[in-house]
Formats: sequence, C-alpha cells, structure tokens
Amino acid sequence: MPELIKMIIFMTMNEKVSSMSNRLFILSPLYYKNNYLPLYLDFAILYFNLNEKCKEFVKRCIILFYKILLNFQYRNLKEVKMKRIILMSSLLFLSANAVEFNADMKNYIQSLKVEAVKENPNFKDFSIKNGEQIFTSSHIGKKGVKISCTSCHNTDLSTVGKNHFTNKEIDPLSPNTNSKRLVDVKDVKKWLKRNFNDVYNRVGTAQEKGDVLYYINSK
Amino acid sequence: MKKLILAAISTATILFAQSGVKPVDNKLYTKECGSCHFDFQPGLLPEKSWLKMMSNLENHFGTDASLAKEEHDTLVGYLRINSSDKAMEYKRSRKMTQSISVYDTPIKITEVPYFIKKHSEIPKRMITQNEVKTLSNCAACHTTAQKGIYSERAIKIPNYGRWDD
Repeated sequence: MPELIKMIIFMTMNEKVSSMSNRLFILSPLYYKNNYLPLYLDFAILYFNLNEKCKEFVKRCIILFYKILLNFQYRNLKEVKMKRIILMSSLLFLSANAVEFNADMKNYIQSLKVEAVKENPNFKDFSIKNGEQIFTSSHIGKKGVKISCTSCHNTDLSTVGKNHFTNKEIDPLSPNTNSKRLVDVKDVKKWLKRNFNDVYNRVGTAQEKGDVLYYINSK
Repeated sequence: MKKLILAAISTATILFAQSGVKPVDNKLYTKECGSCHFDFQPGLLPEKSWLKMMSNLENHFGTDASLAKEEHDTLVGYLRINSSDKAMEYKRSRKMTQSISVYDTPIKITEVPYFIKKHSEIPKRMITQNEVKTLSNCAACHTTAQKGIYSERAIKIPNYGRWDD
C-alpha cells in the first residue's frame, strides 16, 4: 500500500495531473469498492493525459496495486477457509475426545451421522458411554448363545482376545495398542456388520455403530 | 516289461507324491478366513464342498462371515484351484477326497469320513478342554498344522502330550 500512496502523491505533485486530482480518487480502494465499472474509463482518460515517464510509472504502480489487491483478496479467502477447517476439526476433536480418526474414517463417521439424523431427528453426536454399554452388555446372539463383544475381545481392549467358539487369537482392538485398528473403512464396515449379527442377531443402527466406534477409539 | 512299468510308476509316485496338504499361500485367504479360525488349507475339502460353503457366508456355522463381493470372488477362485480334488498329489488331500461319497457334499472338514476315522479314538475330554474346545482347532494339537503337515509325530495334545495309536 505505501507504493500506492507514493504514487498518488507523485501524481498530485505533477502539474498536468493536479488539475485532474479529483480523478485520482479512482485509484483509492474506496473507489474501487464502490464503483467498480467506471474505474477503467476514468483511468484511461487520466492515463492519456500523462507524459511518457509518468505513464511508465503509473503502469508499474497499477500492476503493483492489483498484485497487492489480489494477494489481499486471496489471503482473505484462505483465512476464511482456514477458519472453517479449524472450526470443523475442533468440533470433531471435541466429539471424538480421543485418538483422531484418519480422513477415510472421518468421512465414514460423517456418513454415519447423516444416517443417524435420518433415524432420529434429535440426534446430536455419538457417545462413548452408550458405546461402552453396547460393547459390554450380553445378548442372545446368532448362535443362540448368550455372548457380548467382550466374550471375544475382553473387557480390556488392549489385550489379545480369543474367539469364543474357535479359540483363535484376536489382536487387540484398541487403536492405541494396535495401530491397524479403525484405519480401513472397508474392514470396519465388514466387522461391524458381522459382529452386530453375531452378538445382537441383527445389524446395528448408524447410532449404535457410531457409539461403538467412539468407544473403541477411546480405548 | 510289466515289472519295469510298475517300477517306473512307483518311483514316479514316490517322487511326485507329497505328504500332508499344500500350505496356504494366499494372504487374503489368511486374513479373511484366518481371523476367526485356523486357516484350513483348501486341500482339506473338495471343490463342491467349498462352493457350497462359500454360497452362504452370512450364516457360516452360526456366525456372520459375509464378505464384499470382490474378496468373496477372489477367495472362491483360490479355493477352486487348490481344493482337495485338484491336489491329489498330496496324501491327505487324496485321502480326504477319496473318502467322500459322490452323493455327499460335507461342508465341515470334521464330517469327512477320513477325518472322522482318524480322530475316532480321541477321548472327548481331550477335545472339550479349554485349550482345544473343538476338533476344528487343528493347531491346538497338530504342531505343524500351519505347514500342512498332520503327521502323528507332530501331534501334541495339551495337558496330555504325544499321541500314539
């Protein structure tokens, strides 16, 4: 901006231009803001009344002016975007309250939220507490036997589990202990479908899936 | 001349025949099937059995083992190529295949006549104990099950020890 001021001062000092000093206003940002279109016309008249040296200088100044202006606008745009991103991620942080999900998982959680709102218009957010209830409570499962998620995954999710029926060892479910957990959306979807069927003998609702994912992620 | 042919055949069978079953050599198979149970070698059941089983993964012995179509198709392909009737050069695959009647399609390895015969003498308490739980838990006693070797020498039953007929 100082370049612009300098230019204006220079121009007003010039005899030829001083007579048209009122027109210099067109170069001020205020004018730019209020009357966008006449700018070019007025400027053209001003420009052709200048001598060669002046023309050259004005040209350079104008380019600089626009550069600054564009840069300013661009920065503004970026700031708005950044603010939005910060707001969104802080919201996510607040709700997740644990290890951050990766981008794919965030998208999946978001889609679950959309679904949850469809199921229940009063839906606000998933809850770790409800997730714990879902995870630790026992139900008559697909096999007709009373089991819970903890039958195979243990109550301490950082420990190695054991399949209740086949004795096969299961790697820890806690993402803090096992970095492979809650990373691959396809895998997560697969297991949510399977295990809700196994323990609840039905598929889980979006609310339940989200709750249980929040719970596992908090471990 | 007859003797010569016989000798040639016998040496050929000795040279090409393999003991046990072909070990699992597919990462997807180990990941998808082996996360819930021992990853049984495809050479333990004939193709017809695998196809029947894979057609109903939503209810896989009382458990939901459903897969995405892509993975499902890949695994069916793998099972078909490596099923017991396609791996007759392996001793166990051959015996399993030959013991199954053309009218039967067992979907449990533990229901194959050869398997039943081989495990008939084991007392129930050795199977139901916590360390084993079920006969389908191969690796609990067969220490080299992962390699596809089910020989008697490699058997070690938990809380009992080696097994001799």
